[in-house]
Amino acid sequence: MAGGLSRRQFLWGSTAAVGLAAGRFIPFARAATSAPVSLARCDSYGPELVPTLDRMFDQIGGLGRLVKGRTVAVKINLTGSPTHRLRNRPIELAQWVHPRVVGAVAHLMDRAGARRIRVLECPYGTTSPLEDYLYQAGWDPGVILGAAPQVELVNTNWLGNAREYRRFDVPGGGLLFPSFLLNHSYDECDTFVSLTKLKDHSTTGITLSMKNCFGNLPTTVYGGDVPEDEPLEVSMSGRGQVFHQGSRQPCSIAAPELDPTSPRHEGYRIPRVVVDVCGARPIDLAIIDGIASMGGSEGPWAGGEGCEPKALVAGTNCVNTDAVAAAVMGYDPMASQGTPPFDLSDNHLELAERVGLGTRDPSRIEVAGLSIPEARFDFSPMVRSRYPRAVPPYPSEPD
Amino acid sequence: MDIRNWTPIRWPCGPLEIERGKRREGFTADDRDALEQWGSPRVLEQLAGTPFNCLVVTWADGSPSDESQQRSLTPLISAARGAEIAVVGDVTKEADLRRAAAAAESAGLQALVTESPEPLEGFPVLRFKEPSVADCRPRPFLGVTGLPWPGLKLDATTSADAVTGPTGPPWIDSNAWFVRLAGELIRPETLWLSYEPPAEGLLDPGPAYVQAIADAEVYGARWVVALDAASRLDVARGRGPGQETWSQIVKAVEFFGARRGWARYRPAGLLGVVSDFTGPNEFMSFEVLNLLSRYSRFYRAIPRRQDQTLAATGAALEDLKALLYMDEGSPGDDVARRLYAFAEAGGTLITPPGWEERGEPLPFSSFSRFNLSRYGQGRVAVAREEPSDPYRLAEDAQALMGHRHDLVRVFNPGTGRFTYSRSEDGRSAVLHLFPYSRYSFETHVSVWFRELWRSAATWEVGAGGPAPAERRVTETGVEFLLPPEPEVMRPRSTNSDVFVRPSAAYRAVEVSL
Repeated sequence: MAGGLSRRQFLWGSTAAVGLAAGRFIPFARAATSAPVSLARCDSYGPELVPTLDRMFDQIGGLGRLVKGRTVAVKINLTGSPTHRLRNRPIELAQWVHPRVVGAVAHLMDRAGARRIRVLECPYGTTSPLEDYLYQAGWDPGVILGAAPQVELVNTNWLGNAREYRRFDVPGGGLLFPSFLLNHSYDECDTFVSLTKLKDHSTTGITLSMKNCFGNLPTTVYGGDVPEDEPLEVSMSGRGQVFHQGSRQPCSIAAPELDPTSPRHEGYRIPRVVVDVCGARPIDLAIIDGIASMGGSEGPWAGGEGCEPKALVAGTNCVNTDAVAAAVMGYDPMASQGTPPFDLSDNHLELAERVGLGTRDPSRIEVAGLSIPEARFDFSPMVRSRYPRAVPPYPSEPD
Repeated sequence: MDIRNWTPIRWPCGPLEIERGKRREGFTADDRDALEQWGSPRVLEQLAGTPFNCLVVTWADGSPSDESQQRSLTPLISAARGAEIAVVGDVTKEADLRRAAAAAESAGLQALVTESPEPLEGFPVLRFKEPSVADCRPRPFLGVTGLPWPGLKLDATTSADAVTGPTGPPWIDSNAWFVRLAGELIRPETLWLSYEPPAEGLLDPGPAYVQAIADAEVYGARWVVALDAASRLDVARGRGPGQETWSQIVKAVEFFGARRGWARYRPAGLLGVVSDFTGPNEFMSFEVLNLLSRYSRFYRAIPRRQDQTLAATGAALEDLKALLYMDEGSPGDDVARRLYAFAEAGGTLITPPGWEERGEPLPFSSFSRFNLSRYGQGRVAVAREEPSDPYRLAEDAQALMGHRHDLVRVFNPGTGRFTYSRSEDGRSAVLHLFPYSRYSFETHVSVWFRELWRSAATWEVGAGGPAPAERRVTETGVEFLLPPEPEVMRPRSTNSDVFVRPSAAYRAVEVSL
């Protein structure tokens, strides 16, 4: 300890800080508490996909203003193992965003003038090339890589080709963590897109564009088996110990959590981590694939069943977009902890709203295209198919 | 009798075994009872109608009790002869092999098994040794000892929790890699493996034995079946859960006995592992093969001969996508030339440090432990440092080769392992599945094949005829949906009770054109 700083604080304090504090370009929608959200019906991943998305982007102000001449990073949702299916349902029709949606988005971004499109994900327990991960799921990466001339697939689960991880401070100091270390790709982009699936989540109730960004966090820094003092070169574990259970702190190059005496319950922790991550690396465009998906949980490891909501959701404010998507799923985004779907956790939309990321109140959000009742597909009956969990009761946080 | 037709089972009994037991911690009255009862010809009745036709009995260990042991076995040997069951005597390295052989001959034994290197003529001796291919001379019989129990490794303290490996998933032991290597290099007509059930016990004995038998049989080896003491006692008494275990063992041996042709199928390989597999290269090369096998990689051993040539024709390399050169020192001009030519023609060559980085260097890759260059139509990956971790090297080799060439993908494998072999004429193939997680939330297993097989039949030990698998054509191949098994309620350790599906201990998917 020197000058009031522990070695740990010193180490993470020395890592390059980026993001809002660095005075980078901030798309205007980010600061708004309400921005239009587009809802559309799309029956399949066939030819109607591109025109539908094109129309939706127009309804929220056009892609050009977000991507023209810029490097775009698209964080996709590929949760869990590539060979784990919901029964025999192909993974892209259940827990993973469909590759044709990724390809269609890349195509439209290219057409709108994007200079470079990087598709990002921290795939489960590996630092192998993302392209190779897709092969394991039975996908043809060419559907994504061939969608536009400048598309890359980047595994952000590790340092990659940078010299150091980039530090992203949470505006306002954070609910659980003051900052995060991420792969350089989250910094080296002008526009950050969260492209995810319309799904339930067995802890946080819903997993939409905000929860998708939980997967920004590299397991070489935040994994359960990472040494205390240095990140791993290769990822081999998940984030459960650091974020879900709080049974250990991240590797010391990263900031520890603000209050190690705070509740260790994942229903308290995960929503706060999600809000902190989305504050630290704000989402400029949220896109939700609800054409074919699964309900009841976020992946087959927690039960669930397949479904076809045939809906797409897009917006420039992640809280607005997720609130509308939650309403499409038949849930009340205004619900608090203890009310479905937030039975086991705090409502991260509520926490996000409180820290100023956007409103979750559908009555204050302009919805373009379909109305919420027109797009509605009720997910709540599918919760019955979730595997029962013996999670201790989670008390509400006192205001 | 032709040894190729012998189906051996270890038959522990007699005073020598009891003496050994007494020296062991935890030797119980039941253990002793089992040893005494198995000395009785009555227990031989359990073998009636089973494939077992060869008893391996303890014969000599060089102690004063040898003679009493041999005398005590007389009624058993006589009864075995009457039942047309061969008896072979196990002789330890410490015993006098000649003396043991003389006694065996006069007692009517068919052969001895031993790890002793002592030469002996005039009486059949089946030699066992630790896994090694240092002596590659072809021979009719190879016995291998010093092998781990194949299956999920359990925590010795709890016998209930699986030990985890470096990747986090449970640690799985398998001897299949050595069976393949020995088959490739030594080509014995008969290959017997010796391993014992773990002293800490088996969580679910029946399926564990099925997997232990399958681990040897799928590549044509035979496990000298050895029952745990509790199961032996149940078998002798004719009651208790060991009876069901015995029944499953018999069914497994029958199952593979009826499908010996599968063992002649050729394992599919995409990654060639080049080594002489001996001396200073033995440890690393063995471990890499072991790990590749354990993680269901498509690999093939490419032996490097002492004369610095490859024991593989050009055609044998043609269907490979990557070559991993393992050995210390110079490979020799001929080997180096062939390996670089392989890369130039489109393959990926992975080498230790010091090899020439031919071609155009690739400035950045995801493979920080290698200098990667594009060479001709392929790539050369030269390690920056001498690899010291076989797990890392095996994983790096797979990652460098990538999964785009995969021949098979198994969805919802659980904690499992699989191997894939094709018939010589290419008209059929078999996928052996080892689901080590006995209870899985999701056992709707499906298998994708790059080859457009027309039909698939799923076999399980003891399940009677094959179950058909639904076929789906995909953009890149064909997928078969294996029939799911019924759901049962089973408590989870960390959460509440859930419906899960008990997986078969072993499944084979036989596909054909």
